[in-house]
Amino acid sequence: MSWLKTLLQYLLYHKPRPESTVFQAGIEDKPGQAETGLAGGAGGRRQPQAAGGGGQKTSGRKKRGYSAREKFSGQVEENLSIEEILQGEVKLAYSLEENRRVLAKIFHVPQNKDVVLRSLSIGTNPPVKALLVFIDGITNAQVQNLAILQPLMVLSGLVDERRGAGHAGSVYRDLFDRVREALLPNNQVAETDTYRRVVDDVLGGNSALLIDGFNQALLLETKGWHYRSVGTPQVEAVIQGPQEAFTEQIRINTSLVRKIIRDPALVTEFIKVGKSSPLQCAVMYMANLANPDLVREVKRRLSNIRADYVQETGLMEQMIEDNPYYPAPQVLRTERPDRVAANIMEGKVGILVGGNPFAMVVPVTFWDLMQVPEDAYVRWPFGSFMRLIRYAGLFLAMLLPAHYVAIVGYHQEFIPTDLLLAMTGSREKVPFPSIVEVLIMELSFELIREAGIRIPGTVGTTLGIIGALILGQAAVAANIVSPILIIVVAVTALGSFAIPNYSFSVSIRVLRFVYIFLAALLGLLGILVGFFIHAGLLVSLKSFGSPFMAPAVPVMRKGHDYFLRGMAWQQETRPDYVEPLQERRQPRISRRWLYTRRGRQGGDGP
Amino acid sequence: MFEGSKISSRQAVFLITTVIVPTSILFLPHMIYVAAKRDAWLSVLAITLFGLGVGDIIGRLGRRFPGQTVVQYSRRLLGPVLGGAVGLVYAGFFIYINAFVVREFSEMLVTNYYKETPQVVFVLGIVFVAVYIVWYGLEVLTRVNDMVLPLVLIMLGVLLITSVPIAEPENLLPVLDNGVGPVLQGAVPAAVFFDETVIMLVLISNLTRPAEARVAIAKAVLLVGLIQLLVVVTVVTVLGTLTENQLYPTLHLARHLRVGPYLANVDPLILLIWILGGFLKVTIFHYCATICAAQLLGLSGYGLVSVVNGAILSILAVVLWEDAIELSYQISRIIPPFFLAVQAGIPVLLLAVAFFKRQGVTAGDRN
Repeated sequence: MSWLKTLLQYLLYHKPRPESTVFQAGIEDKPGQAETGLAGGAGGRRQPQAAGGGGQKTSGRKKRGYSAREKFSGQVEENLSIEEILQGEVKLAYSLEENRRVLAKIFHVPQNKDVVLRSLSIGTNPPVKALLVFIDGITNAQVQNLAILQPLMVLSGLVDERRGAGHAGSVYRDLFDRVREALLPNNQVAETDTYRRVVDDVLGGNSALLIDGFNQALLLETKGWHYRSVGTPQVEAVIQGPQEAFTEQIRINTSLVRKIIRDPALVTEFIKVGKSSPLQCAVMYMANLANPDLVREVKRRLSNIRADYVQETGLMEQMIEDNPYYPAPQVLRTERPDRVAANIMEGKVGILVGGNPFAMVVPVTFWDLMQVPEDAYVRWPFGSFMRLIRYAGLFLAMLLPAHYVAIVGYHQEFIPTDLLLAMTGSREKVPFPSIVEVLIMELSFELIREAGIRIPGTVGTTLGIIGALILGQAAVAANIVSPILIIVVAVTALGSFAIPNYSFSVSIRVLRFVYIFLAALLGLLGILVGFFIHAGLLVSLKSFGSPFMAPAVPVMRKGHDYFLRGMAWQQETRPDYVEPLQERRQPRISRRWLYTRRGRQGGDGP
Repeated sequence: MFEGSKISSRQAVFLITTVIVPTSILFLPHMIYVAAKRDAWLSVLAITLFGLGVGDIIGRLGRRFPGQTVVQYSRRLLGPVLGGAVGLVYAGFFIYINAFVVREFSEMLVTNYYKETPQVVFVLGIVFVAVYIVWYGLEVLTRVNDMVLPLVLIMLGVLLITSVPIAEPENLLPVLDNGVGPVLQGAVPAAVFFDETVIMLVLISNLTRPAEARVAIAKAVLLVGLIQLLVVVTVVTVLGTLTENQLYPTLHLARHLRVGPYLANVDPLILLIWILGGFLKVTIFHYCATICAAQLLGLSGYGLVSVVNGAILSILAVVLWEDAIELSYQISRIIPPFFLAVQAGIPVLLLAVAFFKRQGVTAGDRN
C-alpha cells in the first residue's frame, strides 16, 4: 500500500509558503517609504501599526513607514559612530586594549575574517605588548614574517640592553623610536596618531604596528597582492613601437611613464577620489612645461568629486568632463605609456587611475582622437598617409549611409547615368524605402558588432561568418536590401573601425543614425543642416579650457603634427592651445650633424 | 562691443568673403551678362573698385568709433531721434536683405533639387540653423566659418579647374565692342553684392584691432573680386551666349561639365557650396540684424531677439515675393538704389558728419 500512500502524498502535496523576501522590510517598500518620509508626522502615527508583524500582504506593507534604517537602528548608530571616528580624525589611545577594541569595532572583526589583529610581545626586557593589524591576502606574508615579526619577537632581545630606551646615552628617545629606527628592517615606515590613517593604510595593504603605552602607530610597507604583469596593448596595438601597456597597478603605471621620461621635472601627484573606496589617482605632468592653471584645474576637478564609488577610468571621465551632453569624448583614454609620456611632454596632464589599465590625458582635441602613436613611429609620408586614410574613414563612417539615403531618395541626378541605372536596377525588387533598407542593415551590423564583443571567444569566429556572409548574402537574395547597400554598410563599418579612439568611434556610430534620419527628411540639405549644427557644437566644445577643434578652429599656430604628420625635425613647438611654459620643443636646427664638419667629434657644431 | 566675442581681422576677412561669395557666384554671372555681355569680367573689375571704396568708408567709420556698432554711434552723431532712425534702418535692412537671401536660397533648392517640397520647409530649416548658431554667439559663428569657408573655396576651385578643358577663350573677344556703357550698366546690380561689406558696420565693434578694419575689408573685397572674376570668366568662356538664358549659369556649368569619361555630374558641388556658404551668409546677416535690434531696444542680451528676429525673417521670406521671377526682377531692377543708399550712402553721410563734428577717434588722436 505504500505506492498508494505516495500517490496520496503527491496529490495532496502543497508547497510550503515561501518567504516573500529576504528583507523583512521588503524592497518594494521603498516608494511607500519615501512617501511617509515626506509626510513626516504621519510616519510616527503609523509606527504602532508597523509592529503588527511581517506576515501581511505587500500592499498592506506599503503603507507602513517601516524601513531598514529603523529596524537596524542599533547597527546604523554603530556605523555612524565608526564614521565619526574616521572622519573626526580621532587620535589613537595610549592603551593597547582600547586601541584594539576600537579597531576591532571599525573592522567588524569577529565577523570579518579578512582582518587580522595579531598580538605579539616585543622581546625587550621587560617584554612589551604590541598589536599588528593587517588584512590577510593583500599583504605579503613573507615580508611580515622576516621584516616585522622576526626582528620584533626574536631579534629585539639580542641588541645591547644598555643602549635600550630610557638609559643614559641612548640614541633613541624611547622604545617606540627604537622600534622604528633599529628593529624594523622595512623600507618604508611611517607613523601616525589617528585611527583614520591606520585604517586607510591597512586597507591599502600596509600593516600597522601599535605598541602598548604609545598613542602612535607605525605603518609598515607590506603590500603584496596579485596583479597582472605588464602586457602588450590590447586596444591600441601598433606594429612598430613599444609593446607595453598599463596594468591595473597604479604604481607600476607611474613607473612605466617615468621610465620613459627620465626628467626630475616629471611630477606625480596623488589624489584620493571617492568616499567609501578612495581611489588613488596619479596626476602626472612636467613641472617645467605644463601650464600651472591647467594642472590646478585638473586637481581641482579631481579633488572635488563627491561620490561613493568611482572605481574606473570611464566613471572618472564622466565626473570630470566639460560637457556631458555632447557625444564626443573630452578626455583621451589610452593604455599606452608611450602615448601618455608623449602627451605629457607636450605640456598636457596625464591622469592615471588606480586599478585600471587606462590612463587619461587632458586636454584633448579632435585631432588627438584621430591619431595613433604609430603615426610618429613610421616615417612621415606614411604616417601622414595613414592619417588621411583615417579621416576618410571618419567621414565615410559618419556620412556615407546618409548620402546613400539622400541620393536614392532625392538626388538621383547626382550620380552618373550608368551607375544610376545599375543602382535603381538592383533596387527595383526591394520593397522598402531606402531609409528602412539602410536602417535594417545598419542595425543588424550594430547587432553583429555588439554580439561579437559579448560572445565567448571560442565561438567568435563563427559569428563573423554568420554575420558577414550569410546575413548579407541572404538579405540580398531575399530582396530585402540591394547589393549596393551591402557595400555601403561594409565600407561604413570599415570606416568606423579605422577611428582609433574607441569612445570617439562609438559616438560617430551613434551620430551616423542622426544623419541618416536627417537625410531621409531633407536629403542633402538635411545632412548639411546636421553638419552645421554639429560644427557649431564642435567649435563651442572645450576640453579643460582648450578648444576642442584647436589648432584648426580657432586658428592657432600649427605645429607639423595635427592634421598631417610632419617630419620629426620639423616639430619644433609644442601645441599652442595648452599654453605650455616652454614653447620650443627643440632648436630650429635639430639635425646638427648636417652642419658639423665631418671628422669633428661632439655636438658643438659651428 | 555688445557681445563679448572678439574676432581677429583674418576672421573678419573670412566672414566678409562668406557673406559675398556664395550668392554672388550663383546670381552675378547672369545679372552682369544680361547688360555687359562678353565684357562681364570688366564689370567685375569695376564693382571691385567700387566695393573697395565703400569698404574703405565703412572701415574709416568703424575706426573712428572702436567697440561701437552703427546703432550706437549714429545716435551719438545725429542725436537720439535721427540716430535712432538710422539704427532702425539698419536693423530693418539686415532683416530685409536676409529675407532676400533666405528666399533666393529656398527658391534655388525648390527649382533645382526639391521640386515637390513646400518652400516653407527650407525657409524654416535655414532660419533654425541661423538662430541656433547666433544663440552661441559670434565666436562660434566665426569658428564655424573658419572651418567651412576653406571647404567652400576648395570645392569652388575644383569646379573651376575641371571646367578649364572645355573653356573657349574666344568667347571673350572682342573686348569692349559696345563701349564702356554696358559694362557700367552691368556693374550696377552687382554692386549690391559687393557692398555687403556693410556687415562690418556691426562687426568692427568685435574686432580685436579695429584699426586693421580698413585693410581687412580691402583684402576681403579683393579676394571676393578675384573669385568673382574667375567665376565670371569661366562661365562666359564655357557657356558663351547661353549665359543669358540661364538664371543660374554656374549651376548650368556644373551640370554640363564632363571631364573624361568618368567625371560628370559635379553639380552636387554647387549645391554644397551654396548650402554651406548660404547658411553662413544667412547666419551672419541674422547676427547683425539681431545685434542691431537688441541695441536699438536697449536690451542687455540678444538671445530672445534672435528668436523673434528669426520668426519675422521666416515670415518675410515666405510672404514677400510670389515666385523666383519676381524675386530676381526685384533684385536686379528695383532694389539696387535703395540698398546702395543704405550700404554706401548712409556710411558716407555718417562719416561726413563725424568728420565735421570732429567726433570719434581720428588718426591724429590715437598717437
